[in-house]
Amino acid sequence: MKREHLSLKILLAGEGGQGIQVMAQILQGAAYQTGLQTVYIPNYGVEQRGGVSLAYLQISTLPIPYPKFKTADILVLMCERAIPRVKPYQDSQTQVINGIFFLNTSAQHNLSPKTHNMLILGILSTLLPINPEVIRQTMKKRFQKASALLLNQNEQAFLLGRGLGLRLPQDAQRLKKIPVDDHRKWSDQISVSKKHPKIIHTIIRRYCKSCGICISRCPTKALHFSKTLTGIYGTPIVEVDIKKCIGCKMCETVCPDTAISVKKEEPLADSPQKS
Amino acid sequence: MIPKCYKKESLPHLFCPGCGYGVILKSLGFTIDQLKIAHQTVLGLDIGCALLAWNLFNVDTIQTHHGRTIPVMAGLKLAKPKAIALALVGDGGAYAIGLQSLLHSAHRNDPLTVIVVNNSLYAMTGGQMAPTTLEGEITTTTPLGRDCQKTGLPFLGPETVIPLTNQFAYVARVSIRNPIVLEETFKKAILNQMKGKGFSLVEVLSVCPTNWKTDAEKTFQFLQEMENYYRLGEIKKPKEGE
Amino acid sequence: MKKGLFTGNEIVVKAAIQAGAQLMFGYPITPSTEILETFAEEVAFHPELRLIQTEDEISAGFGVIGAVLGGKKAFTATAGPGTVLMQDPISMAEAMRLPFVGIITQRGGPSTGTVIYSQQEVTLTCFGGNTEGLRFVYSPSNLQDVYDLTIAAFNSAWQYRFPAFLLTDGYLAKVKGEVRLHQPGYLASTKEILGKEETIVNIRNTYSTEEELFAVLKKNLADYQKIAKQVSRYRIYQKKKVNSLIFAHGSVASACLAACEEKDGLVLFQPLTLRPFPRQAAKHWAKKAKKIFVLESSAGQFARLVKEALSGLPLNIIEYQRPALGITPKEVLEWVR
Repeated sequence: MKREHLSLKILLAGEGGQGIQVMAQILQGAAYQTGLQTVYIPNYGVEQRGGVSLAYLQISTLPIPYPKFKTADILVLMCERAIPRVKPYQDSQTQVINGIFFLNTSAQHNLSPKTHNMLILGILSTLLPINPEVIRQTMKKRFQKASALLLNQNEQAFLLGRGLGLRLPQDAQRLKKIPVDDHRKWSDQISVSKKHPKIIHTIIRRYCKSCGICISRCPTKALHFSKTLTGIYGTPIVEVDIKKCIGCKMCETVCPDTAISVKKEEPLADSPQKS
Repeated sequence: MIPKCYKKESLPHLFCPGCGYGVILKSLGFTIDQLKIAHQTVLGLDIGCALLAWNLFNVDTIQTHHGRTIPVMAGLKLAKPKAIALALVGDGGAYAIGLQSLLHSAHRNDPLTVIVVNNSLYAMTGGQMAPTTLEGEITTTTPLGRDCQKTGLPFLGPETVIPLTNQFAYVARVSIRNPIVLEETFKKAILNQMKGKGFSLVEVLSVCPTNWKTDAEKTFQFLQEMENYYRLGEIKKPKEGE
Repeated sequence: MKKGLFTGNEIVVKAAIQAGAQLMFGYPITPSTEILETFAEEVAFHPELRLIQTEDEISAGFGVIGAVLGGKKAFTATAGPGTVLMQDPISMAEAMRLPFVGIITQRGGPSTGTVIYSQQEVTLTCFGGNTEGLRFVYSPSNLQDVYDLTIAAFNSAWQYRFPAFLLTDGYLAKVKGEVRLHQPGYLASTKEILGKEETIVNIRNTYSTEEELFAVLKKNLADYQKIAKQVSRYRIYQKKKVNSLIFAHGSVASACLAACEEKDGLVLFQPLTLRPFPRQAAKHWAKKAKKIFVLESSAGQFARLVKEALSGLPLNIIEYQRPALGITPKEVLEWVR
């Protein structure tokens, strides 16, 4: 069956660490499998993580001469910080998939937040003339070294995304309707102990990058990853079980991102406890 | 919790999750606060992940060229002896491309404080072998693990520098496992400069979960391997009364 | 006024100190070494001067950068392979608009070549880094020029904040002759960039996107364009009827002077700055000429600059290329017909 002429310029944008490049690579692999011409290039700045990550993917029935483009046919937007970067690539014809809108969808369906990029890939796949089964197989191959649990969750997320994509009209995904969540306005997570001595444990949500060092160094295992709140990279922040906290300040000391502050009141003068 | 000399508008900073620089810069910041030297300090940043600290401090900072931070700070210190000249350099900038300048600066007893961040690989460029890569360590240019027969043993920077220094130099190696010790050591190194004695070098054993591809637990396990090879402590210091 | 017999290298040091230079960083390399040595002698007698003989030219260049960041006039001197190494620090000085001053005493290249003479470091000094060549390059043709243009280099660098070079050569470095040491009428003031206690600056040369860097370059290119006319200089010798026009710079220009005196209708256009090139003046004089000759001790590095400056004009250009060879006045006369 001869294919109609197809030429798509897809720009994917998100935080470094959100798996933007993986999405593009899987799509490229799938497109290539089905006999299409395809060219992909990541952008890259000096930061290894964080900073806006962009993927330029072109899929066509004809040879593609140049790796980048001025205007995107499809824009996949995964984080608020990418919005100013991608504005120049949009015109009135650009179809936008607002990944920010779906940031909590994975968690709501009991899937790891790490599967968010596969959810969005599922939505994106509904706009592309590529057999979704080929995309799914390419995805499985890509994650074959991951744990069985994560692989399974990624597949579920992808199918969930496809379902969402097929149901939602494309207009609803316009950029203008994004509820912009300014990370500078995020409130700190403050926990106060009920017992003496009083401990005030503060986690600054917008600084937490989910490195997990505080969790591994806490002597009483009082810290764990949140199931609901994400930090600056869209990954889960840390939460404290204040009942287990002894106010030793180990977490504050080891946090590379100055995201934790622990204040412990001095015990009363006649208290047998040492501070 | 946050050093006073940090520029809060620059937080969250540009370093990866779990990066050793997060701890190192925090300790350096607290040291600068304690010594009250934010206004006299000039922090030279080598090319590598160090450059990401360029707007983190309310302290004069400058990104230099790779391996060239030390000669820039030497020139600055010569022109402005009252400035407190710090050089923040990675394993490549200190022990590969910049080794020549490090050795000669130490040899001249330039009154600088050099902080070398050793995370056993070249992180910013994606995780290639460094002089400090451990035997058998997998990096992107040693995919089967470092073969020391062909590439040399992991580089002992401070130990190499020490024979060239005179009696006024202060040389130490610390680990990010203990941020309090980091602070105390930075303080001693900077005081060596402030008191007019001379050159100081602190190598910090640091971590890179991004290129090591480790979670928090495994990151500190690998740091332990580094601590087993690289000796910690004050390796050389001026005698009392010198 | 003071005057006396000096070599080119000695007079560079006199001029630099006169211009306010207090620091020198350098690595010995023929034919520039006497500059380092002469400055070292000066340091011995003048406590406000400082010198570091560095481990290599790269370190020397970055030392100059550190010193100018600290607000003091500083310079280095090098040649040949040293000029190649110097491109690393010069690129940084260009990027960060630093008043870096360098003396380049050209010698035969490429590689170790000769330690003697050439005009083969033109491209390197004008455009050598991973740069757009936003530099000032002065080309002296006699000892008095060496004195005057060294002072000019310091002034332009500090006034306009682009790296500035005296592009001289081995002959001029070593020749001894009379120089008048006049007091300069104007000296650019200095400014500290780092280490000022009242302000905090965070300076970068690394950018995250193509667009960010482009914005910075656009500004620097515009600044350079704006001041080009104020900085560029030239000399026109024998302002009479022009039949043939010679383009030459440096020592070769001096040889051409003699030819112009002996032959009627022969005029020398001598750019004193190769960057920015005195483009308008060059075009003005070129239009008057029937023939144009370009002479240089290189295989076309100077001719490239001339042709670029004159582009658009219908020209008859004849090039005389003698890479690594000196050109005597007699040869000029024999060749320019």
